[in-house]
Amino acid sequence: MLTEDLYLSRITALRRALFRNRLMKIVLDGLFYFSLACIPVLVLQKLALFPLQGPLIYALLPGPVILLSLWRHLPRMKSFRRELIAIDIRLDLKERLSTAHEYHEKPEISRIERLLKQEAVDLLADLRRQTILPAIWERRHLGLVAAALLLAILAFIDLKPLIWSSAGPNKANLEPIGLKISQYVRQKQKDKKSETAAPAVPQQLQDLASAIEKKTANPEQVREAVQRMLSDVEQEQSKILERLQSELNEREAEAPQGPAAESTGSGIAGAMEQLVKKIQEKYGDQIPGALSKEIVALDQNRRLEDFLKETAQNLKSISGNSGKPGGKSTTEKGVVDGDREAKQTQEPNKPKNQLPEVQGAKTTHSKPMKGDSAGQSMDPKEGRSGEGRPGKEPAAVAGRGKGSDEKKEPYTLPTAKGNIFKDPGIAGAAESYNAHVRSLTKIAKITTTEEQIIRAYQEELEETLRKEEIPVSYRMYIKRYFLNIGLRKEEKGNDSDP
Amino acid sequence: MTATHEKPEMVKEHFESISRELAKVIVGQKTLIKDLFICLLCGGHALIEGVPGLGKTLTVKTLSRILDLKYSRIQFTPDLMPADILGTNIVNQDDKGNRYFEFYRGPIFGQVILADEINRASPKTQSAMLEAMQEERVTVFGAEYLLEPPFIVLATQNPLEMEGTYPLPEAQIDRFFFKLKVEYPTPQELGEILEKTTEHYQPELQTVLHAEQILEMKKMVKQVPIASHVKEYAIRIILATHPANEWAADKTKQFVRYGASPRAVQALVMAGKVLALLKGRYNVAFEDIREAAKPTLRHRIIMNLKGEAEGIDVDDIVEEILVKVTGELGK
Repeated sequence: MLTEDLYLSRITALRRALFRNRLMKIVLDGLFYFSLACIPVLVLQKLALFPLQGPLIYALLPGPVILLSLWRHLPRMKSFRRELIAIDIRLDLKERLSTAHEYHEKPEISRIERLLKQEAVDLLADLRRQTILPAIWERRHLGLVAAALLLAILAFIDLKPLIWSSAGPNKANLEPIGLKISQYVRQKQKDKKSETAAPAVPQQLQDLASAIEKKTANPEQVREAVQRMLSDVEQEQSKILERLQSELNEREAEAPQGPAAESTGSGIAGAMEQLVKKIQEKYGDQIPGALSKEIVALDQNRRLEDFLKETAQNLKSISGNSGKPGGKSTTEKGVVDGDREAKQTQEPNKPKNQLPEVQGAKTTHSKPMKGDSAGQSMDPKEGRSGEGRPGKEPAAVAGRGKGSDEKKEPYTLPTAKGNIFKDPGIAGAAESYNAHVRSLTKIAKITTTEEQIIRAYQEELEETLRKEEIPVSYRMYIKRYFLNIGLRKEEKGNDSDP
Repeated sequence: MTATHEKPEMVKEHFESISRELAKVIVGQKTLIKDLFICLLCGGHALIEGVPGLGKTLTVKTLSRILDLKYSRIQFTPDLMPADILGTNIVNQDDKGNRYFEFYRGPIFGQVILADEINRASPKTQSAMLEAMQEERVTVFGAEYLLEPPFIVLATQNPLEMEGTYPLPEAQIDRFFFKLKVEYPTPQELGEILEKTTEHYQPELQTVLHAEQILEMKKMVKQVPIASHVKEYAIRIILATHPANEWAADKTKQFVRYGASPRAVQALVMAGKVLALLKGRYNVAFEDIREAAKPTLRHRIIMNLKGEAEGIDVDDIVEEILVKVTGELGK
């Protein structure tokens, strides 16, 4: 009876321990899956690509993770009997525990069965629980440690610069824009008069230029910033316009009434033109100081607006061309436009809509167009009307000849763009190699007949027979044998002939 | 001397004492002795195969002497008749002059029967032993005679000499619990044999076990617990010997014509029980079944023509089956 009780208590304890062990496994697996799920979530959050920012998602994750862990464990859950068999096999207990358990459920037990049960009790007492229970920690759980480490590293790393700096074409394309912006800002700083009515914008431009230079900004961010500045400038424009209008109205109220300024143009630009025209008509060269100041601010802002619009346009073209092979136009255009703008900013009184004298003719490239940019480097004289080909009329020659420095309007093809040329890749050796191995040709037609060959053998035979010491009685026998072969072959050959 | 309450440990002790006594005469052959002891406790019969001179007959003779059992030796020859084994009715006359038939018991009415060179007798004579081996009784002229327990037939056969022999029919082969192979002695054992047989060595054998004790142990063996998954393991091994079965090993499919009979699974489990007791355990383990597999199955697996032609050893097939079935244990 004592054995029975002892067995029952030990086996119950083992059952409980196994249950706890199983629970621990589920939890550990849950943690493992949780850490695995956290990695992509954190990465996406860091890249601002995940819809849910903040810690909320980490509070939501355990639910599905526990479900996943249960889904993995529940179908594999063994019965207690199976667990005992597994323990028996694992610890080489010679099926003692499982057999004892099976016979324990029988109502009557024999002497040997009782002894077996006693043995099982002793085994359960002797073996340490850690030994009996299956290991919770499996090799795959090393992934948990790795995942935790990775999470810790990810938590302290800002991934955005890594990602954007690795975006090759965008990085390369942003450079000229950044250069252009910084040139513009430098010019503005030199020119102290040209203070805009939107003072925050130059600072923002400077920040943007430095961000592009440090490669911490992506085209999307730059585009957003430019758009934001543009809207600020536009708002400022309209404010100045309102102020100017009210100033003018006040002055008109004091002085005799003239024709009222009506905005006939389209939007702010139209209204501004009308207003400036009206002031010039009214005051001529003697524009009052307050009005003059507002007009200068208005003009500065308009230039800034034009610059920002152009930058936005360039950014648009970058996004259109990024990733395409042979993206020559964007880079080249960016640099050329940048130079053009720089030139414009050096001549502030020149109207914006007036084109530079010769596009690309007098620009000095800071770098030759080689290397990263896919296009061919441009000769400083390239694009001018040629003189290089003697005997030809200079004006009719295009290309590399020495130009006459004659200024030409840029020519744009009136037709629509053609099909985009897709570069099939680098020309060179193919991936596979084909070789033709030619078989040997038939050297010649065999003309020797079989009969001729046999005859030669026959002659040799005769000679051998004469030389060799062959018994006389056998000489004829051997001779006949070979002659017979020859005859048979000849007959066969004759038969086969038609 | 009657032991009414044998302890399980006594099986091991008895075996050790038998081994000690046999070792006085027999050199080596430990596996053979152990397997013979298993047959004795399981009520099975053994077919002992080995080349001449390895001590088959001597082992059986010595065993019968130390077990205190009635020993009969039948030398099988081609002209041996069933009546020579079973016995026959002879006409007798009483004091009053009345004549009557009296049954004259043959050598089968012993307890340890040595059927020497069993494959030399005709199938008719060989089959005379079928009833005795299976049911421990003989029927002669309609009269049944029970054989005295414990009854064990230990048949020997020579695997080399095939001329003038009659291979045992499958039905009879299946009745043998084990087929035992007598291995050639090692150089050390040969030296010991020389010492014991060519010098003045006169061993004095003692009876170490009696029929009652054997019967008591036989009862005990049947009580040894075996878990259902161990039984299932034994069943799978037997099923794996059948070429058409899903458990069949590759070699089984290739070289086996017929697999083992249900008697084989009985033998596997019974032998496993004795092996467990011999190892001092109270339950049958997988390893006991594995250990019993080769002597149980090697004569029950019938090879096909390809297997015979290629000289495939049945033990190799059993080995592959064990590997396959054991490999699937953890699944």
